[in-house]
Amino acid sequence: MELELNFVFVLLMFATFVVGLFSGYPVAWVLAGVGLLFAFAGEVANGLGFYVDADLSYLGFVVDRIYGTMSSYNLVPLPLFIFMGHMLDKSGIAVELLRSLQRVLGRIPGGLALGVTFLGVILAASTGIIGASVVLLGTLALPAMLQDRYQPELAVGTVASAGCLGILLPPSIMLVLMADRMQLSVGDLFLAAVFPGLLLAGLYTAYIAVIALARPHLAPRMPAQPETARGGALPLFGLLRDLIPPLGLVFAVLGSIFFGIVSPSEAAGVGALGATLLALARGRLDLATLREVSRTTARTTSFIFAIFLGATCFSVVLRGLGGDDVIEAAVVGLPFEATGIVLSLMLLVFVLGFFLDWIEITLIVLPLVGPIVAALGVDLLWFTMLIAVCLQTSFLTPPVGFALFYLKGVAPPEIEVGHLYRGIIPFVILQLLGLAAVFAWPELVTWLPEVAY
Amino acid sequence: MGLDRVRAVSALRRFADSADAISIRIGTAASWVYPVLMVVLITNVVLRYGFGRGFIELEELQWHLFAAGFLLAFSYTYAVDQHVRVDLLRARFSTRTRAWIEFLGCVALLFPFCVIVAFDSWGFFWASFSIGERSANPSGLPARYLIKGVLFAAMLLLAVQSLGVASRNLAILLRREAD
Repeated sequence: MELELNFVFVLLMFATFVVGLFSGYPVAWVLAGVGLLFAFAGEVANGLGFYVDADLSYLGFVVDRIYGTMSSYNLVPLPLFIFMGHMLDKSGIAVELLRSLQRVLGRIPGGLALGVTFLGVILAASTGIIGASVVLLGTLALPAMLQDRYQPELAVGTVASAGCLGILLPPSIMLVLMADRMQLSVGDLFLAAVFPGLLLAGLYTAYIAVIALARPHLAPRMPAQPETARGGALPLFGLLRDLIPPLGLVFAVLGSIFFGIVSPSEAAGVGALGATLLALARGRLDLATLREVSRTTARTTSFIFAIFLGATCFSVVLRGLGGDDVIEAAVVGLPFEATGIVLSLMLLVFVLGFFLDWIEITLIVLPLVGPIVAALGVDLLWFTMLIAVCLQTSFLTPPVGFALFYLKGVAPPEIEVGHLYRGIIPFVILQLLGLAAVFAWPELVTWLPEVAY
Repeated sequence: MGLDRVRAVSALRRFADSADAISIRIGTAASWVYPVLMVVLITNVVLRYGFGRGFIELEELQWHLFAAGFLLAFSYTYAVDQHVRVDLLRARFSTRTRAWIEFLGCVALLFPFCVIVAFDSWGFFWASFSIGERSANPSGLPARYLIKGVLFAAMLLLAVQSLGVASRNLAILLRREAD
């Protein structure tokens, strides 16, 4: 009887969370509030003589947990990567980069699409959530692609997929958060993501190149403009000038982690400083820009940690009610071996990705399932990377993928939902190929962290 | 619309505006921790490689700045309405429905949560302050209670901000009822 009442509470808690989520009230406060409500309900039930394993005293744990988050060195890189991304964006370096990519790559088949994929990776760290990442890229790059008479389907497919690839490729704030929750090293997870990320980027690139060569009218080359007609060397020089610094930034960050020169936080500091110096060198840094970058960084960081705060309260109460046992029983009760269980969890995350951004999934779902798969002897680095790629695929999948939803919001009116769906399907197939590869060859994930440092 | 109601609506709005103003002022001031954090990190790297020693104080300062940065921006981010929402259905709700949801959310979920956590974090701060807690590391930072105090202050600020948002939405509901 007692166990049953706890079980009912667990189910009600999830149900209330779903209702709150779709009410459109901020997710962070829904999580916090639902935790509170059920602690309160537990208190009342206990007062009435129905024994439940959670009451208001459980909220006392919230402060300890939050303090744990505050004093965590693992999470310090997060705001600095965000700072780096915003600095590249607000100082106009990102736009400059796109222009020069357009000037040079526009003349090779599919060049602009490739440039956009690259830009998506560079900028992704700035945005925090997948929606913002796609919106930023959609505003910057989509008009340029349509102006160059790219087929709308190819243009939106490229933008949406590039926005999602960015959340996976390091320096990725999603990976910082996942490492923290799965108790993995940030450096290891970054390095683990390199090959899966490059594999996906390679698949995208190959697809775009094939389309551009086989059907040039879908991805036309940019007509030679007076500026570029002056000589081949000039735009190439311009590209190098624009391309090397941001690329160098990514390599400096990753390289210094790879060789064990600095901690991930310090690498993030190096990245942030690099972006700032870059803006300074281009004469794009003034006090107003610095202030704007700091403020947007504060807002992005804050909404992520607000969800941290809410998820803490939610999971403290859920755990009190034995929610993790309920989930473990459900997962282990599946009639599968370890591999089948991993596949089932991937499917679960794939479906959850239709409704939740990666932050909520990382903060609520991963800590619940992580210990279960670890107990089954599954490599956590590999599992986390599977979940990461799976989420990324989920965000792209029609009809409800997050990326599509946000991209529709910022796309020019002539882009219809049909364009989005048709355009994204090839990329979803490529994602599934990449996911299958990571699943089949765990070495893609585990090799680089093993040889590093 | 009766005169009392007009007064009530404008009082609610004034309160909401003040709450927003306080949150925004504190949050934007706190956002300067990020350039400072960057400088602290770089300084530590330079000192370690250039002079062969790292400073524990500087390492501890990193998470102090980081923590203060996100805590003090909770209410600021709410004041400028940038916390993550699931917009799927919200986009189709009427202004009135949205105002109801926001009002109820603040009154029933966020405000009580903030009050309880503020209460708990006050105890947490006080326990630390009364023993003059400092870093466990001999060369670490003094006054550990300060950052614990920031947690309390942030929750208090968020409690006020949640009342501010509740007031603004109540004002919308009162005005709409009268129309």
